[in-house]
Amino acid sequence: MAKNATEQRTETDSRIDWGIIFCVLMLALIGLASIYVAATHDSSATSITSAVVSQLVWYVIGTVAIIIIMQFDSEQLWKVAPVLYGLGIFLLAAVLIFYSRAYYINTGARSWFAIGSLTFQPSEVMKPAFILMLARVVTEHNNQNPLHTVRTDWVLIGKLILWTLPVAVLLKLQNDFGTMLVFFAIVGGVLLVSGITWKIIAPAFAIVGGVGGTALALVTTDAGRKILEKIGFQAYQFSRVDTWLHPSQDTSNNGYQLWQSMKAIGSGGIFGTGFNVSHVYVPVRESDMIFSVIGENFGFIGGCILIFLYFLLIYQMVRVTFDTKNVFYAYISTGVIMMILFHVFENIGMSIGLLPLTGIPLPFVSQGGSALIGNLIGIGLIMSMRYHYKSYMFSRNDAFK
Amino acid sequence: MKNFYNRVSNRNQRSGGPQRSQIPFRLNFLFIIVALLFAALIGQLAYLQVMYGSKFKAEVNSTDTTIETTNVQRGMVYDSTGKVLVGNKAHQAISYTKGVNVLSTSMYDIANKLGNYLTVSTSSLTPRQSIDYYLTDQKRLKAVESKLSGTKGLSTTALYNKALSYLEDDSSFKLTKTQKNAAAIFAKMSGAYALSTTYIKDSGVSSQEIAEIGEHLSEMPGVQVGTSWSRNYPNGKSMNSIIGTVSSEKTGLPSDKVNELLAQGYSRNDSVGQSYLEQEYESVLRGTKAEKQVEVAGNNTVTKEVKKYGGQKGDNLQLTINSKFQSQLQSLVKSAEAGAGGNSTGTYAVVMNPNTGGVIGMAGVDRNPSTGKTTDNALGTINSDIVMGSVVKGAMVSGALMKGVITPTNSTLTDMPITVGGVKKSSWFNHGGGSNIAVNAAGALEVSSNSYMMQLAMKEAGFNYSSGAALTMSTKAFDIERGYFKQFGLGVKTGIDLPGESAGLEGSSSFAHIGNALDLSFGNYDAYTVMQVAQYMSTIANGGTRIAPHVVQSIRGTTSNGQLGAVKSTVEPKVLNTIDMTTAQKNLVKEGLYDVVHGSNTYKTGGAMSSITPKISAKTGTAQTYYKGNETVTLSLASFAPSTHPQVVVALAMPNLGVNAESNNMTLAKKIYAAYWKTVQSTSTINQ
Repeated sequence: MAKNATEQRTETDSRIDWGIIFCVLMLALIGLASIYVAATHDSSATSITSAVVSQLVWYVIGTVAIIIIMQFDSEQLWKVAPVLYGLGIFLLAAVLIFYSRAYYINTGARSWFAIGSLTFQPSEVMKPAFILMLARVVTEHNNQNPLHTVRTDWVLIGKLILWTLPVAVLLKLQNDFGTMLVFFAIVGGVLLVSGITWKIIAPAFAIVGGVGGTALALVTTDAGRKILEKIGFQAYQFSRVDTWLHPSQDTSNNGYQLWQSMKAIGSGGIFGTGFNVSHVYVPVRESDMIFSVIGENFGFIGGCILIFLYFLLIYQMVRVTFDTKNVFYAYISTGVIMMILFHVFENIGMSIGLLPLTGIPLPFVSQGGSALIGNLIGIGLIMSMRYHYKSYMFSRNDAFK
Repeated sequence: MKNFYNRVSNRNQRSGGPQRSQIPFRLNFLFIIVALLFAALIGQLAYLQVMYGSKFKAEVNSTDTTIETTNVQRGMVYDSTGKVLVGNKAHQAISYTKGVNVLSTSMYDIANKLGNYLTVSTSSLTPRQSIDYYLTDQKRLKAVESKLSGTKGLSTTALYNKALSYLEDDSSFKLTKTQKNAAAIFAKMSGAYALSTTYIKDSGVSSQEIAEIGEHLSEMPGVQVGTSWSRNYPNGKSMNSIIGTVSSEKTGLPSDKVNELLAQGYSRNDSVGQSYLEQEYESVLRGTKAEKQVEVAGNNTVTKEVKKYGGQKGDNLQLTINSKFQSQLQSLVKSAEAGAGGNSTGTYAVVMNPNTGGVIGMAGVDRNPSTGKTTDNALGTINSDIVMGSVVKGAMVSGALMKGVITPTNSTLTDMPITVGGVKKSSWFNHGGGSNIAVNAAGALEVSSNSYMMQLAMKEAGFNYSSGAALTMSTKAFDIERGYFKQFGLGVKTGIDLPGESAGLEGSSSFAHIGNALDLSFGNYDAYTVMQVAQYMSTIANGGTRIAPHVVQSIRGTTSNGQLGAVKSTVEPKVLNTIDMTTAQKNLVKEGLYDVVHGSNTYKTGGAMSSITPKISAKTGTAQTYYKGNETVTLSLASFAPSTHPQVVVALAMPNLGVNAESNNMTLAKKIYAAYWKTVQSTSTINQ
């Protein structure tokens, strides 16, 4: 009896991906420590303990969400995907009416619900729902069209655009450009893995590069800006690009945040100033600018460790995908990888002047409940793969088919 | 536990035949992208932290400390006898020092609190300031914003501006009296720069207000009870035209110089000298601000305050001007002007020490002939250009001696009317040529011979005069005469330590005006200031040294009890040039000037002043002038006393008197000398 129970547990243990848990746990610890440092040094209204404790509470809620999601196997996920997608769209639409006025005044984006002191950003939890839906659409398409041709690939692209369009429109209405980019990144990643022929991907890369280059050229000239204004870009977006290209030029207004962040990180040097030693004030460093705390306190070594943790996390996700050899799962994990990759790259990149500023948090580290829940749900999806993998171990194919 | 997915895939496998999955390769490809992007992050991180880490560290350390400054009392101005001309009146004041990155909401709270205890003037409160105050309260802002339409997609700033213009158009928007008071306080706080002090209320603070604010100081960070100063004039404002004014805290720095002054470390609301002495000696009077080094931590809290420098009250100016004499001089000038009437445009007089250049008194009255209104204008002595007439003859004779066209032993010429090109010019006593007399240089000065001066001018220019012939003299004559005049200070800036001095006016030097070269020789062509005449006479009186006049005698500190302190520096006579004349030449000129008053010739021009004691030497001047087409006479006078060893120079001018005016200049001179020896210096201090 006892032996049987132990075996049972060992089996359960091996179904849990400890590597991913380790990475997320480490990131959570770094996050809590960084929020503590930010709260200690900033004269914000909330107290240090409440900042740290509320983040902890969100972690607990997220963990519960992971446990629940782990109970879903792929078939259930498949079925629930359209429901979640619909629910997400509903929330995204609802927030346009019931958005928090206070947050809107502060940020200019209608992206938050607020009930009392509790705030919630539906676009964050929309991300995993969107990933599920995309994975289902791609799987279905590939099953109907087992042979990739340029034509069927275009049809697939068309389908993905149709599914992305409602989200993009709603986010545009919310005035949340940064989050919209995350969704585009997810679509891009899923498209790549979906097996679309290089005949489309290679030119697409070239076009994206060309458009990006042209946009940059337009932004840096006056005449170009007039054209962009006609298309619907706004002055604040231009000034962000200006700030990005010349961080030390205008440090009083738009560039202040970036320059402070670069100063903080740069002054960290190789080894950092040490835990809880901060000399540079960086606005909103508890959330979007959290990397400035890590960079300043722990220096180049700390920054590298953090980036390595993310790398390790993504590696684990790829491993799971390879292990489970399930196509649907492969698209899900691609979506989650893209979501985390984009967040990490954009957030750290903007903190160190590599990319323009956007309001994108650092996954598992930045303060902010909804983003944390969204990312933890993503982790939950990955963990459910390993969790259910054993159960159909013997019925699986030897290769992705 | 049938996998839905395998079922689908299996079916596919059966129907579509085996096809190698793309997923492993694509996933690996994606993974490589991840690795590349992360490598880019680490690359940039290395660039920032490893390569430029030390540079950023230096940058961070350098911005850590800031200097907080506090104003000090401005230096005072005293007259030559130690009487206060300009003092500072201290007021109890409430000031506010803005910290680093203080939020407007916290300033709003402080303003509201301070408003409970302090009443300030709301007269200069603009509607915009009222609205800014009103909207700083987030609840009110939200309430206003909810009334707006078309706010979609607006940035915070645009939304705020919209709310602002909404309230501007809203006629029902009105602050209560209490709110207005707080809004005025808030406006002043908002206008302040970080770490600099601004006055919320700088005068008329009641003792009750001080007491109440003092009790609640700790609740209002940045608010302080202190002192502010304003300029006051305990001996009247009669000398304000010389002393000038300072900008007030309200008006701020003069807008035309604001950038220059900011660069010198002034704050926008500092007082700064705007005119005359206050401006000229700004660097002395301003003092040195108290400095406090403030260390600001990364989170913008002040961690350390070190008093670096306690501040130093501005140094005081002691003037050469005797204020009592100055006011006597001013009233003498004024009463002389009052009796003039007609087309008289003013009266100006300068009294100075010929040996040091120290101005003892300078007074002037401007008159508007069309209204008859007179205004005090002591600066008319340095900025009014007047055709002076014969006073310049001393310089003309000196020039001829230096040029060598006459010598002390051989200077006799015949005074006769000069006829050139059909125009006859003559001395006052010899219009027809019936009184031709032989005069030497001293005699020519004594009788004020125009003819003699014209003959000197022609000799200097190398022109051989023959009566009635055309004056084909070179225009160099102008340069030669003016060259000598300028050595004495006529026609050049005197170098006085007051801004706005005129260099005089020169008539045209073209050949068409060559006849005027003769007029120039007896002072009827170019225009000079009274200060120039005083400098010219001083140069003769002191034996040939042209000294810059000055009104500031010394710069002095302040004693611990606020009295006039030790001399920090004395203004030394500033020699501009010396006159290259032999003693015999100088004596000849001096002799002539003495004879003007005390000579034996019946035609002597200054006999009316012979009664002045101690004896004076002088030269009078009468110029034929015109005011708006009407013939007028300008009287002038340059003199020094005592004749033997000069201590004081009196110069004056009375432009555009009636044609019959004759001795107004001498009458005024008599009164000035009487006042001088009574008020400034006792005659017993000199040996006559």
